Amino acid sequence: MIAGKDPMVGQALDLLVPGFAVDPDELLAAGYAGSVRVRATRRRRQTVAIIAFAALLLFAGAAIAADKTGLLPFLHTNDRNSARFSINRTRAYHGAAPLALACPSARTGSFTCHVSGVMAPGNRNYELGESTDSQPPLTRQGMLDSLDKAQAAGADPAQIDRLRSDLANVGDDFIRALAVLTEIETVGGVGGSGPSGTERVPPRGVPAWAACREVNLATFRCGPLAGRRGVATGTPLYYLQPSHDWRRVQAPPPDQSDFGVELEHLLGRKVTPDETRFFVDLATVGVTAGHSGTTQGTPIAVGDSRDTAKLAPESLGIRTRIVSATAQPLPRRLPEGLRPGATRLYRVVFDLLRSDGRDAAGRHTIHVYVTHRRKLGVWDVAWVDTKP
Amino acid sequence: MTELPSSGLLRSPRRREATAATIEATYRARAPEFIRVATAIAGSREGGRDAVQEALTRAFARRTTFRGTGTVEAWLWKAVVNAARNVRERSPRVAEGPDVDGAAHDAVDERRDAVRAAVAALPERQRLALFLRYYADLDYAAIASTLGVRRGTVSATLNHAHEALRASLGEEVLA
Repeated sequence: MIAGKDPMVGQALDLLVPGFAVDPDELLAAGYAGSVRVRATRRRRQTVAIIAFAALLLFAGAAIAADKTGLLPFLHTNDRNSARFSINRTRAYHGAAPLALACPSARTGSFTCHVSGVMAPGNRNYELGESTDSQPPLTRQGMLDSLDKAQAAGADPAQIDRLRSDLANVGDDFIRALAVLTEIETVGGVGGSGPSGTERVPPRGVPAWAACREVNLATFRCGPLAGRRGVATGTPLYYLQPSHDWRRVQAPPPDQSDFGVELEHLLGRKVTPDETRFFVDLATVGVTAGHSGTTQGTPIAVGDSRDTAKLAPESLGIRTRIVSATAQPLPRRLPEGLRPGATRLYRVVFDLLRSDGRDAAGRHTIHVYVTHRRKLGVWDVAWVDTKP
Repeated sequence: MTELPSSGLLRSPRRREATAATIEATYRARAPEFIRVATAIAGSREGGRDAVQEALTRAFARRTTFRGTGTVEAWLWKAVVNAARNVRERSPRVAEGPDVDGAAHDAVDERRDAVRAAVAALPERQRLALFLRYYADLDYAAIASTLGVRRGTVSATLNHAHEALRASLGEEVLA
Protein backbone atom coordinates (compact mmCIF):
# COMPACT_ATOMS: atom_id res chain seq x y z
CA MET A 1 0.00 0.00 0.00
CA ILE A 2 1.22 3.51 -0.82
CA ALA A 3 1.50 5.56 2.38
CA GLY A 4 -2.02 6.47 3.39
CA LYS A 5 -3.59 4.94 0.30
CA ASP A 6 -5.52 1.74 -0.23
CA PRO A 7 -5.62 0.84 -3.95
CA MET A 8 -9.07 -0.72 -3.64
CA VAL A 9 -10.48 2.33 -1.91
CA GLY A 10 -8.83 4.42 -4.60
CA GLN A 11 -10.62 2.48 -7.33
CA ALA A 12 -13.92 2.83 -5.54
CA LEU A 13 -13.45 6.58 -5.17
CA ASP A 14 -12.53 6.84 -8.86
CA LEU A 15 -15.98 5.46 -9.59
CA LEU A 16 -17.54 8.20 -7.54
CA VAL A 17 -15.75 11.20 -9.04
CA PRO A 18 -13.79 10.24 -12.14
CA GLY A 19 -11.02 12.55 -13.25
CA PHE A 20 -12.15 14.99 -15.94
CA ALA A 21 -10.66 17.66 -18.14
CA VAL A 22 -11.10 21.25 -16.97
CA ASP A 23 -10.54 24.66 -18.50
CA PRO A 24 -8.76 26.59 -15.74
CA ASP A 25 -9.11 29.93 -17.55
CA GLU A 26 -12.88 29.95 -17.31
CA LEU A 27 -13.10 29.73 -13.52
CA LEU A 28 -10.03 31.93 -13.07
CA ALA A 29 -11.55 34.81 -15.00
CA ALA A 30 -14.90 34.46 -13.23
CA GLY A 31 -13.18 34.22 -9.84
CA TYR A 32 -11.16 37.33 -10.46
CA ALA A 33 -14.13 39.31 -11.75
CA GLY A 34 -16.04 38.33 -8.63
CA SER A 35 -13.21 39.45 -6.39
CA VAL A 36 -13.41 43.00 -7.69
CA ARG A 37 -17.03 43.15 -6.60
CA VAL A 38 -16.25 41.55 -3.24
CA ARG A 39 -13.49 44.05 -2.53
CA ALA A 40 -15.75 46.98 -3.33
CA THR A 41 -18.49 45.70 -1.05
CA ARG A 42 -16.10 44.93 1.80
CA ARG A 43 -14.41 48.29 1.82
CA ARG A 44 -17.70 50.15 1.94
CA ARG A 45 -18.70 48.05 4.90
CA GLN A 46 -15.64 49.34 6.72
CA THR A 47 -17.16 52.81 6.58
CA VAL A 48 -20.40 51.60 8.13
CA ALA A 49 -18.43 49.81 10.84
CA ILE A 50 -16.64 53.03 11.71
CA ILE A 51 -19.95 54.83 12.05
CA ALA A 52 -21.28 52.11 14.34
CA PHE A 53 -18.12 52.15 16.43
CA ALA A 54 -18.26 55.89 16.79
CA ALA A 55 -21.90 55.65 17.80
CA LEU A 56 -20.97 53.33 20.62
CA LEU A 57 -18.33 55.73 21.81
CA LEU A 58 -20.78 58.57 21.84
CA PHE A 59 -23.32 56.45 23.59
CA ALA A 60 -20.77 55.74 26.27
CA GLY A 61 -20.14 59.44 26.65
CA ALA A 62 -16.56 59.37 25.38
CA ALA A 63 -15.90 62.88 24.19
CA ILE A 64 -12.83 65.01 23.70
CA ALA A 65 -12.78 68.80 23.67
CA ALA A 66 -13.47 70.15 20.21
CA ASP A 67 -11.16 72.67 18.58
CA LYS A 68 -13.03 73.29 15.31
CA THR A 69 -9.97 72.76 13.17
CA GLY A 70 -11.97 71.55 10.20
CA LEU A 71 -11.76 68.30 8.33
CA LEU A 72 -8.24 68.46 6.99
CA PRO A 73 -6.41 66.98 10.00
CA PHE A 74 -9.07 64.31 10.23
CA LEU A 75 -8.26 63.09 6.72
CA HIS A 76 -4.73 62.15 7.73
CA THR A 77 -4.05 58.81 9.39
CA ASN A 78 -0.94 57.10 10.68
CA ASP A 79 -1.79 53.93 8.81
CA ARG A 80 0.30 53.77 5.63
CA ASN A 81 -1.84 51.00 4.18
CA SER A 82 -5.08 52.93 4.33
CA ALA A 83 -6.36 56.20 2.94
CA ARG A 84 -9.03 58.53 4.26
CA PHE A 85 -10.44 61.07 1.86
CA SER A 86 -13.48 63.23 1.27
CA ILE A 87 -15.88 63.01 -1.65
CA ASN A 88 -17.45 65.91 -3.50
CA ARG A 89 -20.82 64.56 -4.59
CA THR A 90 -21.44 67.48 -6.92
CA ARG A 91 -18.54 66.42 -9.15
CA ALA A 92 -18.54 63.26 -11.24
CA TYR A 93 -15.68 61.42 -12.90
CA HIS A 94 -16.12 60.56 -16.57
CA GLY A 95 -13.69 58.22 -18.21
CA ALA A 96 -12.28 54.74 -18.30
CA ALA A 97 -11.36 52.75 -15.18
CA PRO A 98 -8.86 50.03 -16.16
CA LEU A 99 -8.39 46.99 -13.96
CA ALA A 100 -4.68 47.60 -13.51
CA LEU A 101 -2.14 50.40 -13.94
CA ALA A 102 1.65 50.38 -14.04
CA CYS A 103 3.07 53.50 -12.38
CA PRO A 104 6.89 53.38 -12.35
CA SER A 105 7.19 56.90 -10.91
CA ALA A 106 4.54 56.56 -8.18
CA ARG A 107 5.37 59.00 -5.40
CA THR A 108 3.90 61.63 -3.12
CA GLY A 109 2.85 64.08 -5.80
CA SER A 110 1.06 63.52 -9.07
CA PHE A 111 2.38 60.75 -11.32
CA THR A 112 1.65 59.13 -14.68
CA CYS A 113 0.44 55.55 -15.11
CA HIS A 114 -0.16 53.26 -18.04
CA VAL A 115 -2.83 50.65 -18.51
CA SER A 116 -1.39 47.21 -17.80
CA GLY A 117 -2.26 43.68 -16.73
CA VAL A 118 -2.44 42.69 -13.08
CA MET A 119 0.88 40.87 -13.34
CA ALA A 120 2.82 43.56 -15.19
CA PRO A 121 6.56 43.63 -14.43
CA GLY A 122 7.94 46.30 -12.10
CA ASN A 123 7.39 47.33 -8.50
CA ARG A 124 4.68 49.93 -8.80
CA ASN A 125 1.62 48.18 -10.06
CA TYR A 126 -1.81 49.24 -8.92
CA GLU A 127 -5.08 47.34 -9.11
CA LEU A 128 -8.57 48.79 -9.25
CA GLY A 129 -10.11 48.54 -5.79
CA GLU A 130 -13.36 50.39 -6.25
CA SER A 131 -14.88 53.61 -7.50
CA THR A 132 -16.25 56.29 -5.20
CA ASP A 133 -20.00 56.12 -4.56
CA SER A 134 -22.41 58.32 -6.43
CA GLN A 135 -25.14 58.29 -3.80
CA PRO A 136 -26.95 61.60 -3.19
CA PRO A 137 -26.01 63.89 -0.29
CA LEU A 138 -27.54 63.07 3.08
CA THR A 139 -30.59 65.28 3.75
CA ARG A 140 -33.61 65.06 6.01
CA GLN A 141 -35.96 64.75 3.03
CA GLY A 142 -33.73 62.12 1.41
CA MET A 143 -33.82 60.03 4.58
CA LEU A 144 -37.62 60.36 4.82
CA ASP A 145 -37.88 59.21 1.20
CA SER A 146 -35.61 56.25 1.97
CA LEU A 147 -37.79 55.29 4.91
CA ASP A 148 -40.92 55.43 2.71
CA LYS A 149 -39.24 53.18 0.16
CA ALA A 150 -38.05 50.77 2.84
CA GLN A 151 -41.58 50.52 4.24
CA ALA A 152 -43.03 49.96 0.76
CA ALA A 153 -40.48 47.21 0.26
CA GLY A 154 -41.72 45.41 3.36
CA ALA A 155 -39.40 46.68 6.13
CA ASP A 156 -40.58 46.30 9.72
CA PRO A 157 -43.13 49.16 10.23
CA ALA A 158 -42.26 49.50 13.93
CA GLN A 159 -38.60 50.02 13.09
CA ILE A 160 -39.47 52.54 10.38
CA ASP A 161 -41.72 54.46 12.76
CA ARG A 162 -38.98 54.59 15.35
CA LEU A 163 -36.54 56.00 12.80
CA ARG A 164 -39.08 58.63 11.68
CA SER A 165 -39.55 59.63 15.29
CA ASP A 166 -35.77 59.72 15.85
CA LEU A 167 -35.35 61.88 12.78
CA ALA A 168 -38.00 64.35 13.89
CA ASN A 169 -36.17 64.81 17.19
CA VAL A 170 -32.79 65.88 15.75
CA GLY A 171 -31.93 69.33 14.46
CA ASP A 172 -30.81 70.38 11.00
CA ASP A 173 -27.32 71.17 12.27
CA PHE A 174 -26.89 67.55 13.27
CA ILE A 175 -28.06 66.34 9.84
CA ARG A 176 -25.62 68.73 8.17
CA ALA A 177 -22.76 67.49 10.33
CA LEU A 178 -23.63 63.90 9.48
CA ALA A 179 -23.82 64.80 5.78
CA VAL A 180 -20.29 66.18 5.94
CA LEU A 181 -19.03 63.05 7.64
CA THR A 182 -20.71 60.72 5.16
CA GLU A 183 -18.56 62.38 2.52
CA ILE A 184 -15.52 60.90 4.21
CA GLU A 185 -14.48 57.40 3.30
CA THR A 186 -11.67 55.16 4.42
CA VAL A 187 -10.18 52.38 2.38
CA GLY A 188 -7.50 50.09 3.66
CA GLY A 189 -6.12 46.64 4.12
CA VAL A 190 -3.42 46.73 1.46
CA GLY A 191 -0.53 45.36 3.49
CA GLY A 192 -2.45 42.86 5.57
CA SER A 193 -1.58 41.91 9.12
CA GLY A 194 1.44 39.97 10.24
CA PRO A 195 2.91 38.45 13.38
CA SER A 196 2.89 40.45 16.63
CA GLY A 197 0.77 43.30 15.35
CA THR A 198 2.98 44.11 12.39
CA GLU A 199 2.07 44.90 8.82
CA ARG A 200 3.93 45.39 5.57
CA VAL A 201 4.02 48.89 4.16
CA PRO A 202 5.17 50.38 0.86
CA PRO A 203 8.42 52.37 0.69
CA ARG A 204 8.09 55.87 2.14
CA GLY A 205 6.57 58.27 -0.37
CA VAL A 206 4.87 55.60 -2.44
CA PRO A 207 1.11 55.77 -1.87
CA ALA A 208 -0.74 52.57 -0.95
CA TRP A 209 -3.88 54.01 -2.56
CA ALA A 210 -4.15 56.31 -5.56
CA ALA A 211 -7.00 58.19 -7.20
CA CYS A 212 -6.67 58.36 -10.96
CA ARG A 213 -8.18 60.14 -13.92
CA GLU A 214 -7.89 59.41 -17.59
CA VAL A 215 -5.58 61.47 -19.78
CA ASN A 216 -6.16 59.27 -22.79
CA LEU A 217 -7.23 55.66 -23.18
CA ALA A 218 -3.70 54.42 -22.42
CA THR A 219 -2.45 56.99 -19.91
CA PHE A 220 -3.76 58.02 -16.50
CA ARG A 221 -2.80 60.78 -14.09
CA CYS A 222 -2.80 59.59 -10.50
CA GLY A 223 -2.09 60.96 -7.05
CA PRO A 224 -2.13 59.74 -3.45
CA LEU A 225 -5.64 59.16 -2.16
CA ALA A 226 -4.80 59.64 1.53
CA GLY A 227 -5.83 63.08 2.70
CA ARG A 228 -7.33 64.05 -0.65
CA ARG A 229 -10.34 66.39 -0.50
CA GLY A 230 -13.21 66.63 -2.94
CA VAL A 231 -12.70 63.40 -4.88
CA ALA A 232 -15.31 63.27 -7.64
CA THR A 233 -17.91 60.54 -7.47
CA GLY A 234 -17.11 57.60 -9.73
CA THR A 235 -13.35 58.20 -9.46
CA PRO A 236 -11.48 54.89 -9.80
CA LEU A 237 -9.37 54.11 -6.72
CA TYR A 238 -6.31 51.90 -7.06
CA TYR A 239 -4.30 50.02 -4.45
CA LEU A 240 -0.64 49.13 -4.69
CA GLN A 241 0.47 45.55 -5.27
CA PRO A 242 3.05 44.37 -2.69
CA SER A 243 6.62 44.08 -3.98
CA HIS A 244 10.01 43.07 -2.63
CA ASP A 245 10.86 46.55 -1.34
CA TRP A 246 7.97 46.71 1.13
CA ARG A 247 9.00 46.75 4.79
CA ARG A 248 7.44 45.19 7.85
CA VAL A 249 6.59 47.73 10.56
CA GLN A 250 4.54 47.83 13.73
CA ALA A 251 0.89 48.34 12.80
CA PRO A 252 -0.52 51.63 14.11
CA PRO A 253 -3.31 51.44 16.70
CA PRO A 254 -6.82 51.81 15.29
CA ASP A 255 -8.02 55.42 15.33
CA GLN A 256 -11.70 54.85 14.68
CA SER A 257 -12.80 57.04 17.60
CA ASP A 258 -11.81 60.08 15.52
CA PHE A 259 -15.18 59.87 13.82
CA GLY A 260 -17.08 60.62 17.00
CA VAL A 261 -14.63 63.33 17.93
CA GLU A 262 -14.97 64.94 14.54
CA LEU A 263 -18.76 64.91 14.72
CA GLU A 264 -18.52 66.99 17.88
CA HIS A 265 -15.93 69.22 16.19
CA LEU A 266 -18.39 69.94 13.43
CA LEU A 267 -21.33 70.47 15.77
CA GLY A 268 -19.33 72.59 18.18
CA ARG A 269 -21.10 70.91 21.08
CA LYS A 270 -21.80 67.55 22.66
CA VAL A 271 -24.42 65.39 21.00
CA THR A 272 -27.79 65.13 22.70
CA PRO A 273 -29.39 61.84 23.82
CA ASP A 274 -31.90 62.13 20.93
CA GLU A 275 -29.05 62.53 18.45
CA THR A 276 -27.21 59.59 19.97
CA ARG A 277 -30.28 57.38 19.62
CA PHE A 278 -30.79 58.51 16.03
CA PHE A 279 -27.12 57.96 15.27
CA VAL A 280 -27.19 54.42 16.64
CA ASP A 281 -30.38 53.58 14.72
CA LEU A 282 -28.95 55.07 11.56
CA ALA A 283 -25.78 53.04 11.86
CA THR A 284 -27.68 49.87 12.73
CA VAL A 285 -30.32 50.05 10.04
CA GLY A 286 -28.10 51.61 7.42
CA VAL A 287 -30.65 53.96 5.87
CA THR A 288 -27.84 55.79 4.15
CA ALA A 289 -26.09 52.67 2.87
CA GLY A 290 -25.81 52.88 -0.88
CA HIS A 291 -25.80 49.96 -3.23
CA SER A 292 -22.47 48.39 -4.00
CA GLY A 293 -21.11 49.26 -7.38
CA THR A 294 -19.95 46.53 -9.65
CA THR A 295 -16.88 46.56 -11.82
CA GLN A 296 -16.57 44.36 -14.81
CA GLY A 297 -13.60 42.07 -14.51
CA THR A 298 -11.67 40.54 -17.35
CA PRO A 299 -9.50 37.49 -17.74
CA ILE A 300 -6.08 38.04 -16.20
CA ALA A 301 -4.00 36.37 -18.82
CA VAL A 302 -4.39 33.86 -21.62
CA GLY A 303 -2.19 31.52 -23.55
CA ASP A 304 -1.88 33.42 -26.83
CA SER A 305 -0.11 36.78 -27.17
CA ARG A 306 -2.54 38.21 -29.73
CA ASP A 307 -5.60 37.19 -27.69
CA THR A 308 -3.97 38.74 -24.64
CA ALA A 309 -3.47 42.03 -26.49
CA LYS A 310 -7.15 42.02 -27.35
CA LEU A 311 -7.97 41.99 -23.62
CA ALA A 312 -6.48 45.46 -23.10
CA PRO A 313 -9.48 47.49 -24.37
CA GLU A 314 -11.83 45.21 -22.46
CA SER A 315 -9.93 45.88 -19.23
CA LEU A 316 -10.59 49.63 -19.55
CA GLY A 317 -13.95 49.15 -17.89
CA ILE A 318 -15.92 50.55 -20.82
CA ARG A 319 -17.86 48.73 -23.51
CA THR A 320 -15.70 47.99 -26.54
CA ARG A 321 -15.67 45.80 -29.62
CA ILE A 322 -12.33 44.65 -31.00
CA VAL A 323 -11.71 45.34 -34.68
CA SER A 324 -8.18 44.05 -35.13
CA ALA A 325 -4.92 43.25 -33.35
CA THR A 326 -1.89 43.53 -35.64
CA ALA A 327 1.66 42.56 -34.63
CA GLN A 328 4.16 45.45 -34.78
CA PRO A 329 7.97 45.51 -34.72
CA LEU A 330 9.35 46.23 -31.25
CA PRO A 331 10.86 49.70 -30.78
CA ARG A 332 14.49 49.94 -29.73
CA ARG A 333 13.55 51.15 -26.27
CA LEU A 334 10.97 49.11 -24.37
CA PRO A 335 8.91 50.21 -21.34
CA GLU A 336 10.55 49.49 -17.98
CA GLY A 337 10.88 45.85 -17.01
CA LEU A 338 10.16 44.35 -20.44
CA ARG A 339 12.62 42.00 -22.13
CA PRO A 340 12.75 41.89 -25.94
CA GLY A 341 12.66 38.08 -26.13
CA ALA A 342 9.52 37.78 -24.06
CA THR A 343 7.63 40.82 -25.37
CA ARG A 344 5.28 41.35 -28.30
CA LEU A 345 3.74 44.58 -29.49
CA TYR A 346 0.27 44.77 -31.08
CA ARG A 347 -1.62 47.63 -32.64
CA VAL A 348 -5.16 47.09 -31.36
CA VAL A 349 -8.05 48.84 -33.08
CA PHE A 350 -11.38 48.84 -31.27
CA ASP A 351 -14.74 50.55 -31.26
CA LEU A 352 -15.95 52.30 -28.15
CA LEU A 353 -19.63 51.41 -28.21
CA ARG A 354 -20.84 54.39 -26.20
CA SER A 355 -19.32 57.66 -25.10
CA ASP A 356 -18.62 57.77 -21.37
CA GLY A 357 -18.49 61.56 -21.29
CA ARG A 358 -14.73 61.57 -21.69
CA ASP A 359 -14.04 59.30 -24.66
CA ALA A 360 -16.02 59.64 -27.86
CA ALA A 361 -17.88 56.65 -29.18
CA GLY A 362 -16.26 55.24 -32.30
CA ARG A 363 -12.93 53.88 -33.42
CA HIS A 364 -9.79 54.08 -31.26
CA THR A 365 -6.27 52.69 -31.58
CA ILE A 366 -3.88 51.70 -28.80
CA HIS A 367 -0.53 49.91 -28.77
CA VAL A 368 -0.35 46.99 -26.40
CA TYR A 369 2.85 45.38 -25.10
CA VAL A 370 2.29 41.84 -23.90
CA THR A 371 4.88 39.85 -22.01
CA HIS A 372 5.30 36.13 -21.51
CA ARG A 373 5.20 34.95 -17.91
CA ARG A 374 7.54 32.00 -18.20
CA LYS A 375 6.78 30.43 -14.82
CA LEU A 376 3.05 30.62 -15.41
CA GLY A 377 3.18 29.77 -19.11
CA VAL A 378 0.83 32.64 -20.01
CA TRP A 379 0.90 36.00 -21.75
CA ASP A 380 -0.12 39.13 -19.85
CA VAL A 381 -0.74 42.76 -20.76
CA ALA A 382 2.31 44.73 -19.57
CA TRP A 383 1.91 48.23 -20.96
CA VAL A 384 -0.56 50.16 -23.08
CA ASP A 385 0.26 53.32 -25.00
CA THR A 386 -1.28 55.49 -27.67
CA LYS A 387 1.88 55.29 -29.76
CA PRO A 388 4.41 52.47 -30.29
CA MET B 1 5.19 11.06 0.80
CA THR B 2 3.84 13.42 -1.84
CA GLU B 3 5.23 16.94 -1.94
CA LEU B 4 3.12 19.89 -3.00
CA PRO B 5 4.21 20.46 -6.59
CA SER B 6 4.27 24.23 -6.48
CA SER B 7 6.00 24.56 -3.14
CA GLY B 8 9.32 25.58 -4.69
CA LEU B 9 7.74 28.50 -6.49
CA LEU B 10 5.67 29.67 -3.58
CA ARG B 11 8.24 29.40 -0.82
CA SER B 12 10.62 31.85 -2.41
CA PRO B 13 11.37 34.40 0.34
CA ARG B 14 10.63 37.31 -1.97
CA ARG B 15 7.16 36.07 -2.81
CA ARG B 16 5.63 35.20 0.55
CA GLU B 17 2.60 37.38 -0.07
CA ALA B 18 -0.36 35.97 -1.96
CA THR B 19 -0.33 38.10 -5.07
CA ALA B 20 -2.72 37.64 -7.95
CA ALA B 21 0.11 35.95 -9.81
CA THR B 22 0.87 33.38 -7.09
CA ILE B 23 -2.80 32.55 -6.64
CA GLU B 24 -3.17 32.14 -10.39
CA ALA B 25 -0.04 29.98 -10.66
CA THR B 26 -1.14 27.77 -7.78
CA TYR B 27 -4.59 27.34 -9.22
CA ARG B 28 -3.32 26.58 -12.73
CA ALA B 29 -0.92 23.95 -11.39
CA ARG B 30 -3.67 22.14 -9.49
CA ALA B 31 -6.92 23.10 -11.22
CA PRO B 32 -8.12 19.53 -11.98
CA GLU B 33 -7.48 18.47 -8.38
CA PHE B 34 -9.18 21.54 -6.90
CA ILE B 35 -12.26 20.92 -9.04
CA ARG B 36 -12.31 17.17 -8.40
CA VAL B 37 -12.13 17.56 -4.62
CA ALA B 38 -14.70 20.36 -4.68
CA THR B 39 -16.98 18.18 -6.81
CA ALA B 40 -16.69 15.32 -4.35
CA ILE B 41 -17.48 17.55 -1.37
CA ALA B 42 -20.21 19.62 -3.02
CA GLY B 43 -21.85 16.56 -4.49
CA SER B 44 -22.14 17.63 -8.10
CA ARG B 45 -19.92 18.76 -10.90
CA GLU B 46 -21.75 22.08 -11.11
CA GLY B 47 -21.47 22.56 -7.38
CA GLY B 48 -17.76 21.80 -7.52
CA ARG B 49 -17.19 24.41 -10.19
CA ASP B 50 -19.22 26.96 -8.23
CA ALA B 51 -17.19 26.21 -5.13
CA VAL B 52 -13.83 26.62 -6.86
CA GLN B 53 -14.96 29.88 -8.45
CA GLU B 54 -16.16 31.11 -5.05
CA ALA B 55 -12.86 30.11 -3.46
CA LEU B 56 -10.90 31.95 -6.15
CA THR B 57 -13.06 35.02 -5.69
CA ARG B 58 -12.35 35.00 -1.96
CA ALA B 59 -8.68 34.33 -2.44
CA PHE B 60 -8.22 37.19 -4.89
CA ALA B 61 -10.29 39.56 -2.79
CA ARG B 62 -8.60 38.67 0.49
CA ARG B 63 -5.08 38.00 -0.67
CA THR B 64 -3.73 40.86 1.42
CA THR B 65 -4.88 38.97 4.52
CA PHE B 66 -2.64 36.01 3.67
CA ARG B 67 -0.18 35.85 6.57
CA GLY B 68 2.57 33.99 4.79
CA THR B 69 2.90 31.39 7.53
CA GLY B 70 2.11 28.51 5.16
CA THR B 71 2.01 28.10 1.42
CA VAL B 72 -0.43 29.83 -0.85
CA GLU B 73 -1.49 26.37 -2.00
CA ALA B 74 -2.47 25.30 1.52
CA TRP B 75 -4.36 28.56 1.93
CA LEU B 76 -6.18 27.94 -1.35
CA TRP B 77 -7.05 24.37 -0.38
CA LYS B 78 -8.72 25.65 2.79
CA ALA B 79 -10.72 28.13 0.73
CA VAL B 80 -11.80 25.45 -1.74
CA VAL B 81 -12.83 22.98 0.97
CA ASN B 82 -14.78 25.64 2.88
CA ALA B 83 -16.51 26.89 -0.26
CA ALA B 84 -17.44 23.35 -1.30
CA ARG B 85 -18.86 22.63 2.16
CA ASN B 86 -20.93 25.80 1.88
CA VAL B 87 -22.22 24.74 -1.53
CA ARG B 88 -23.10 21.36 -0.10
CA GLU B 89 -25.04 22.93 2.76
CA ARG B 90 -26.98 25.10 0.32
CA SER B 91 -27.91 22.12 -1.86
CA PRO B 92 -30.41 19.62 -0.46
CA ARG B 93 -29.67 17.00 -3.13
CA VAL B 94 -26.18 16.26 -1.92
CA ALA B 95 -27.32 14.98 1.45
CA GLU B 96 -27.31 11.60 -0.27
CA GLY B 97 -23.66 11.85 -1.32
CA PRO B 98 -21.87 12.88 -4.51
CA ASP B 99 -23.72 12.37 -7.78
CA VAL B 100 -21.29 13.80 -10.25
CA ASP B 101 -22.91 12.64 -13.45
CA GLY B 102 -26.23 14.21 -12.64
CA ALA B 103 -27.86 11.25 -14.35
CA ALA B 104 -31.21 9.82 -13.40
CA HIS B 105 -31.07 7.55 -10.38
CA ASP B 106 -31.97 4.42 -12.35
CA ALA B 107 -28.99 4.99 -14.65
CA VAL B 108 -26.49 4.83 -11.83
CA ASP B 109 -24.99 1.39 -11.54
CA GLU B 110 -25.23 -0.51 -8.30
CA ARG B 111 -21.57 -0.44 -7.51
CA ARG B 112 -21.32 3.32 -7.67
CA ASP B 113 -24.49 3.56 -5.63
CA ALA B 114 -22.97 1.38 -2.96
CA VAL B 115 -19.77 3.42 -2.86
CA ARG B 116 -21.75 6.65 -2.70
CA ALA B 117 -23.78 5.41 0.23
CA ALA B 118 -20.72 4.14 2.05
CA VAL B 119 -18.81 7.41 1.59
CA ALA B 120 -21.83 9.46 2.61
CA ALA B 121 -22.07 7.42 5.82
CA LEU B 122 -18.54 8.37 6.88
CA PRO B 123 -17.97 11.19 9.37
CA GLU B 124 -17.20 14.43 7.55
CA ARG B 125 -13.55 14.58 8.59
CA GLN B 126 -12.94 11.08 7.24
CA ARG B 127 -14.68 11.97 4.00
CA LEU B 128 -12.66 15.16 3.52
CA ALA B 129 -9.39 13.41 4.35
CA LEU B 130 -10.17 10.70 1.79
CA PHE B 131 -11.00 13.22 -0.94
CA LEU B 132 -7.85 15.26 -0.32
CA ARG B 133 -5.65 12.16 -0.19
CA TYR B 134 -7.03 10.33 -3.21
CA TYR B 135 -8.32 13.07 -5.50
CA ALA B 136 -5.62 15.68 -4.80
CA ASP B 137 -2.79 13.39 -3.71
CA LEU B 138 -2.01 15.70 -0.80
CA ASP B 139 0.42 14.44 1.82
CA TYR B 140 -0.49 14.17 5.51
CA ALA B 141 0.98 17.57 6.38
CA ALA B 142 -1.01 19.34 3.66
CA ILE B 143 -4.22 17.54 4.63
CA ALA B 144 -3.61 18.44 8.27
CA SER B 145 -3.10 22.08 7.35
CA THR B 146 -6.23 22.15 5.21
CA LEU B 147 -8.46 20.51 7.79
CA GLY B 148 -6.90 22.27 10.77
CA VAL B 149 -5.90 19.06 12.57
CA ARG B 150 -2.63 17.49 13.68
CA ARG B 151 -0.67 15.38 11.25
CA GLY B 152 -1.09 12.26 13.38
CA THR B 153 -4.84 12.77 13.32
CA VAL B 154 -4.81 12.58 9.53
CA SER B 155 -3.15 9.17 9.61
CA ALA B 156 -5.67 7.83 12.12
CA THR B 157 -8.58 9.40 10.26
CA LEU B 158 -7.56 7.78 6.97
CA ASN B 159 -7.09 4.40 8.65
CA HIS B 160 -10.57 4.59 10.16
CA ALA B 161 -12.01 5.62 6.79
CA HIS B 162 -10.34 2.69 5.03
CA GLU B 163 -11.62 0.25 7.62
CA ALA B 164 -15.12 1.68 7.48
CA LEU B 165 -15.27 1.52 3.69
CA ARG B 166 -13.94 -2.03 3.58
CA ALA B 167 -16.45 -3.09 6.20
CA SER B 168 -19.45 -1.47 4.57
CA LEU B 169 -18.62 -2.26 0.96
CA GLY B 170 -17.10 -5.73 1.28
CA GLU B 171 -14.41 -7.19 -0.95
CA GLU B 172 -16.77 -7.86 -3.89
CA VAL B 173 -17.61 -4.17 -4.31
CA LEU B 174 -14.06 -2.98 -3.73
CA ALA B 175 -12.51 -5.59 -6.00
